[in-house]
Amino acid sequence: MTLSSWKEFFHSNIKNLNEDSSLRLLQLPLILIHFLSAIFFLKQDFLGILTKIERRICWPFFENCLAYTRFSSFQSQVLFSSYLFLALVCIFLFFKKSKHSLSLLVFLEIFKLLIQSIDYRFMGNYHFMPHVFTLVYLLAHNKSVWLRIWLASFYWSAASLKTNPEWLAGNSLSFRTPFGFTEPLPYFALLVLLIEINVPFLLLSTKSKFRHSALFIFLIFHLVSFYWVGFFYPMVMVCLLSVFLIIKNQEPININILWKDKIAFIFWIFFIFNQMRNISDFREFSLNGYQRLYSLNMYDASSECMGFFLAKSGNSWEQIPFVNHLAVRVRCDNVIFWQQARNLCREKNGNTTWSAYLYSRLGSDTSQTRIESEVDVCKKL
Amino acid sequence: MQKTLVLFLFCLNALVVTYFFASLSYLGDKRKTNLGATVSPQEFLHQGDLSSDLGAENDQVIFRGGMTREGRYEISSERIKPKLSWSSEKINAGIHSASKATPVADSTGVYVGTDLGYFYRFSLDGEIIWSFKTDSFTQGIHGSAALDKDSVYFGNYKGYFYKLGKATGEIRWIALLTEGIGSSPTFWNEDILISAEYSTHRQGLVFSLDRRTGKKIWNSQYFGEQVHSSPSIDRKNRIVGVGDNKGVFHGIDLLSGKTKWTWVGYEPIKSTAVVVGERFCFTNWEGKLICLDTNTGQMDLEIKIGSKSQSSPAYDGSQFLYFTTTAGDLFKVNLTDKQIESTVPIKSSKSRKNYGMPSPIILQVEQKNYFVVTPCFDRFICFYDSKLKLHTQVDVSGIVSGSLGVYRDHLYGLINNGGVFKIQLY
Repeated sequence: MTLSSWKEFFHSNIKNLNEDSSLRLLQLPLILIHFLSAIFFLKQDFLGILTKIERRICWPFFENCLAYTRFSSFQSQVLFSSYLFLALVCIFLFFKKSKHSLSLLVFLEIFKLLIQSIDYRFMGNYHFMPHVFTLVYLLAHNKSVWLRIWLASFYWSAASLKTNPEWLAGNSLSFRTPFGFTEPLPYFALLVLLIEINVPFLLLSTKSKFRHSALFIFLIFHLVSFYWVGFFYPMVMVCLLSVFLIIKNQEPININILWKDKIAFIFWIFFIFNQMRNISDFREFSLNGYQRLYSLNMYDASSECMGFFLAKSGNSWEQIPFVNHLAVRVRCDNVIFWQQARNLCREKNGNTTWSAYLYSRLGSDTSQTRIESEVDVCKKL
Repeated sequence: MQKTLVLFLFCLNALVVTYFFASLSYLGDKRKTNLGATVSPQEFLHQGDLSSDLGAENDQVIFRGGMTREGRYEISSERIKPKLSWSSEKINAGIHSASKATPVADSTGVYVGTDLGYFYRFSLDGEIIWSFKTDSFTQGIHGSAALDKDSVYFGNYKGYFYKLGKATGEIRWIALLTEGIGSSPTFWNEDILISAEYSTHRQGLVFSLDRRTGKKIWNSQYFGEQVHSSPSIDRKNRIVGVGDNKGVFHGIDLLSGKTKWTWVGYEPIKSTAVVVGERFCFTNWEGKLICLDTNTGQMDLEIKIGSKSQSSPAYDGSQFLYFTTTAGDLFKVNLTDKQIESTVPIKSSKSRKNYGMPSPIILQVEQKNYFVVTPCFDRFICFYDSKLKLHTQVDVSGIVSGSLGVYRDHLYGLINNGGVFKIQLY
């Protein structure tokens, strides 16, 4: 495609997004997700994460993030307030039917990505999925088809990643037990899996009664999931699911229609391929944060681990713990482990020799299945 | 098309449900606990240099003198003139109310853990040779270590169990077993036994580990309550005995880890039982001295001692037990007559300190010629003869809530809010 054809594509795309009433209406849930994200970031101790650089966890391939992401308390507050303010302004512009709401939505997407790039703890599939969804909304040709198939794909990939003994044993749910009973947990896990396999097919049906039934099932599903995952994840999914109410043209989907938008199709296949990689060795992909990124963290197992750093200085030894009192999804994450190793190497004096050890396993395993080990680690980092 | 899809989904769902039940069956034994999926022995193991020499039984130093926990040590002569030889810098902060660790010593030095989470090797002259700061919660280390020929073993209050080389403190292996270890290990052949507990779910159990590799040989069933006391072994009947915080005493098969019997009391058992013949004898918070048959768990002695105790009894090798109570008395009990022989106060009337913790030891010249030694009167170590007549006191300038270690006519202790000290007997 030439530059002029790209320009033409963007212009027609923007025109389509502003003039098609249902596509325009879809901006609202996407903007709402930014508002919810701001609240979620605050709950994640956004200000603390930005200001306490000694605890900063850089993303893989951006290990020198500290050189670029130092914030004072005032700067952190300005950053957060700006993001929240812009989300509110965007909602206002939307209701004022201003065309600038779309531009601001794009700006919010970039803003959020930049915020997430500051610290690895701002990861999560509840962020990745709206990013993908917004990208498809902005750029795909046949938006009504791709938005629906992507959402269904999110559920199917989540289901495929749950088809393993670890999930089916209920371990990933066991950190909260309804009324203290653990026996029903495996059956809850099975029910989740069956819903994620079957209900997306109903969502993609051309018959409205099936679609509405599916939406109702997912609404209940996400409502119940509040108990385990908090407010943010279910509300993001409900926002994304609104595409099935808002889009009027719920045409049937088949491979020929998908193939017409080749770039979108390749992107989608790439996503499916990375989910399939996880299935081939779910234990490795569940415990390895670097590998989970490829699949956009669609599945995070309940993991347990022993991690520590050993410092030797003269005749003294010191065992320093791997700080893993984080959320379930990252508490044994080797990305965080190696970042902590880098921080220790940077802070401690030159006479100290450091070694790093991380042993992890899935909740249903009885012995460690993954080992990260490095003697004299500072020489290698 | 729709029919094909419905058929496909039906088959897929059937497969998934079949896989589900197969998974449950596969996992059922692996995570079989009486708690559900949330708690299981951690079983994390880091191995370093495994080339250690375990030595022979006479190379071993264990809390209370051995696996039977008699607290009895031989000395050269009855003409003792105890005096303080040295005391180290402060290494304990007085954190947590449990009894502090007892130093253990052999020819290579003195080994002890602190409530700040440090483990030290001192020379016999009181110099620090190496230190190891463990990853621990605020309670640090309260259990006493065990020594074999070239390694030291101890646990801490984060559930780590360590084997370090005595020479330099290098790691042989580290096992993460539970959420807390406050007890002292004992050896059985090439195995090592330790009791451990969980704080988030009030549970306790005993582990047997391979001393060489750190790998688990067995763990007992969960006790239903935390366990602070250390396991004792009746070698003849191959039974491990340990009490828990609910007051239940457990008799566990030494080779398999299976519970053979339990004796149910109603108040915590914090003391370590002494093995007297084929009986486990211990004190409890109900204010009693109890002895149980090691084979059956049947109680064959129950003596009321007036106030609660968590002192581990010392056994003179014939018929007497010695222990202390919270009221501040040192007791001598006759096991043959099944009665209290005598008591002496070890607490001044003005003191408000809790004295139910120190565990006396016996320094023996001949069978009937020995001294009973216990921390006393807030800051002293008292030496009594076998009739509980005070022979002498040594001022160590602090409370000792644990017991005393013995090596070649020298005693070693750790002050609650202070350092290690050494008392020479001659």
